Amino acid sequence: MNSNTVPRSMLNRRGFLTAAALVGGAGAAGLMAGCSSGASSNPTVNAAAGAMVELPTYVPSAGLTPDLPGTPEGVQAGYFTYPKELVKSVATPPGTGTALSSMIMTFATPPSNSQYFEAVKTAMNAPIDLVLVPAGDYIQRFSTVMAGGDLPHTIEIPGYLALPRIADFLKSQCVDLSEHLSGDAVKKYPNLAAVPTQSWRSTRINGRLYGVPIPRNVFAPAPFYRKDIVDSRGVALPTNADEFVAFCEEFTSKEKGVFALGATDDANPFGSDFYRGMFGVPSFWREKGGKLTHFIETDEFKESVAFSKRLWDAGVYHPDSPSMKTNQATDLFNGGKLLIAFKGNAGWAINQRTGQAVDPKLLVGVLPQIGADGGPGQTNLGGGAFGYTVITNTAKDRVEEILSILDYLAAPFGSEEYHLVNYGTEGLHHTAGPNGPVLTEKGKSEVIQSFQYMAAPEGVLFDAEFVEEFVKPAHAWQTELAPHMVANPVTGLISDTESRVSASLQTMINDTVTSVTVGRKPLSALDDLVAGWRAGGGTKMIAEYENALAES
Amino acid sequence: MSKYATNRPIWMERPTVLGRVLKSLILVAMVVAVVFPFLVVISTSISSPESISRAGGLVVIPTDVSFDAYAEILLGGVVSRAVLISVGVTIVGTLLSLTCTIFAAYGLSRRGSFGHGPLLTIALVTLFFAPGIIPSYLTVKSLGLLDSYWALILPTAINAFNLVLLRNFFLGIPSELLDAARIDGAGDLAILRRVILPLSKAITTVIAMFYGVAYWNSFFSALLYMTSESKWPLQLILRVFVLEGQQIGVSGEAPPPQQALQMAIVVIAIIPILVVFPFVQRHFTKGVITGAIKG
Repeated sequence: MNSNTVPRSMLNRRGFLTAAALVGGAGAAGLMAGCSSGASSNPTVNAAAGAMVELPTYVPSAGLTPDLPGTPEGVQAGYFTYPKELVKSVATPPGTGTALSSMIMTFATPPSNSQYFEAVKTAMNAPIDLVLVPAGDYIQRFSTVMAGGDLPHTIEIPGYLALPRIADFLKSQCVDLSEHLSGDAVKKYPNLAAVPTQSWRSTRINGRLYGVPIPRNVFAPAPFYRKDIVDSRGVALPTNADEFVAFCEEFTSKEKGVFALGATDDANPFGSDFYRGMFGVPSFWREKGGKLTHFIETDEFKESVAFSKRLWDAGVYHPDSPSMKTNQATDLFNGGKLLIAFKGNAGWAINQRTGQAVDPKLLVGVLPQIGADGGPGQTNLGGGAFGYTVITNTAKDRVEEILSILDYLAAPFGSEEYHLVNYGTEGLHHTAGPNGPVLTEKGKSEVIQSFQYMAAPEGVLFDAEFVEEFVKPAHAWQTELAPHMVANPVTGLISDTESRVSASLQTMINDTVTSVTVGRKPLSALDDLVAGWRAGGGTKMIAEYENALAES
Repeated sequence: MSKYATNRPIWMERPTVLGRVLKSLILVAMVVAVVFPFLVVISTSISSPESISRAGGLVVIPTDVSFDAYAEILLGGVVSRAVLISVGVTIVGTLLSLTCTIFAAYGLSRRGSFGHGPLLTIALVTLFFAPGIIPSYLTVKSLGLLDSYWALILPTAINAFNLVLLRNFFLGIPSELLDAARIDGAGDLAILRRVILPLSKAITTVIAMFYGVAYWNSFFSALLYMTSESKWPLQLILRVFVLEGQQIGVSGEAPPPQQALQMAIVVIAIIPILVVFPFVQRHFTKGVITGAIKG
């Protein structure tokens, strides 16, 4: 290139840099002006005193009698066999035939031209356009939908995602369902009335009911272990912290590549609820006299981290634990290389089935919660909901119709509606086996978890193939845990700061716990963690929650 | 003085046997370091779940060969459709992007062309500032492109970096060639077609490759703009397969997919690139070093 080919008109290097600086400065100023401090324009995001509506009245489903009863504390009912006679819980199709759009997350690849989707929509007389969003990217899509203004009629709000400015979004863009669902009003929708009260707590935002919950059991992730291996060696289960360490050492052999523990929460490899329950760590917050203390500020938390460090130093953790992915942990567990895996307890039967396909002797058990010095320990009372479904203002004149549709989808186990939503059409998606419906190949590809993320009934313990391996022990485990559950005192309250910074603060906590556990940082780093957490938004969070508590 | 001593620099001396052995060993080690993980991915993808579990997650030498993972992915119908969508978007997008970039670069390389300065500045500014998710979404929405395949192509049709790259190459073509063509009566389009493009095969191949790979790997645009899952491209489908395990393994919502399945996904995702690259490698190599040597 020579100077003759360079256009003389505009852009030498000096001119370009000057122009870029001017443009960049103007752009940055504009961006900065557009940025708010992040604080809500409403200084207190929670409702004024006196505006807290009553939660929906709980009316259990009539009809089926379980083999193992459920309890109001959250123990799920257990069934040994699939009902031979199904009850009809919804008399007439709830829809009016008018199109409806619903944004939900998906954990599975959506099937093409799904006859399952069509069957459910036809049964409800509701042509629902399901907008399926991959679970891992739900927050990005949610943000654009919020900003874009073209809202679907219903949106799933997952409870585990810290969605930005959710309180403001609900108040401005979503229908307040309080008059339709609060107290006895919910009895108009019998299946929704059968959703446990604990599940509804997270849908009461700013003192008002904004959503229909997607219920889950209230129990923490379970410490699954290879019961077949432990039973074959005749080793007793541990009853305190010291025995737990010895138990893990018993089943660790570096030479054979076998370890007792491995991290199974990709983001939080060493922050086990099981350890925290051993040392009495509060469920996220401790409330005393209206004052809140975050769990990382407690001595019990430091003791639990010191315990995980003790386990790491004892060599009972798989060396890949800091970066281990769930799939790797599952393969190691199924292959007998990992004794204990902390996983969502809802996956008990699934883990048993997939594990048994690899090793026919595999038997999944759950370690009972123990206290560090003996005793039962404690466990966090879960929110009882995966999330909730809101009705946006685009459908504010169809609220009753949509609630009727959600009522259909919340039909209980043993109903015709539940049968269709969970197993599809008989003959096409499933066949009637001796123990209950058996999915066909078409059923396996089409019947994905989809409508269940709009609304669902209270879960039950049922797997006809694994009554002894799952239904009975799961019911016993839940029954044993239920009296020792500790509630999160801020459930149902909103902190604007938390929705903005909780993800980054949680990463900070997880990283510090990991670093201390593997010895990269000393235990004193937990004090620095508290300081960093407070500076990063924790102090504001405390103030907002205390304010909300005072108003509630 | 050694009988081998010469006045040449040391790197031009005939290498010793030891030197050649060492160099070979280093090169072999580097190749193994690069190829080994890839072989493990392929081996794991064709292994049975039992052998994967026995091996602790990754298989080096497959003992029980099983193509169940590929069958599960390809026979489901979803992936086949997604492959067609990805291939279509990649081909159409690459052709459109290449065409637009060539015309834009040519126009911006001609002295005195209309709006030359402001247009080039606008293009260069985009190198410094990305629009962000929400402004992009609002723009696409306002153009009525939501849930349209054009939403996967038009917003990223011209990449400023590629534009600058091509423009600089065009600027380097001797003006005497262009003057000679103009004397022979050629207009701007004829000059572009008959003089500039034949000289630009290497660089246009490189830029086509850049665009093609970008379109093939793109999933985020589909995530944002496609409300119908029947229009998801391959990468978004595969992403769901891969991310399933990480999400649901924690919450217990459903079983994580097998390791074999995830490795098969990786293989399927990169096969097209591997197939195409050998045919364009020659041009790609030439194009990459274009501009490295000042003419």
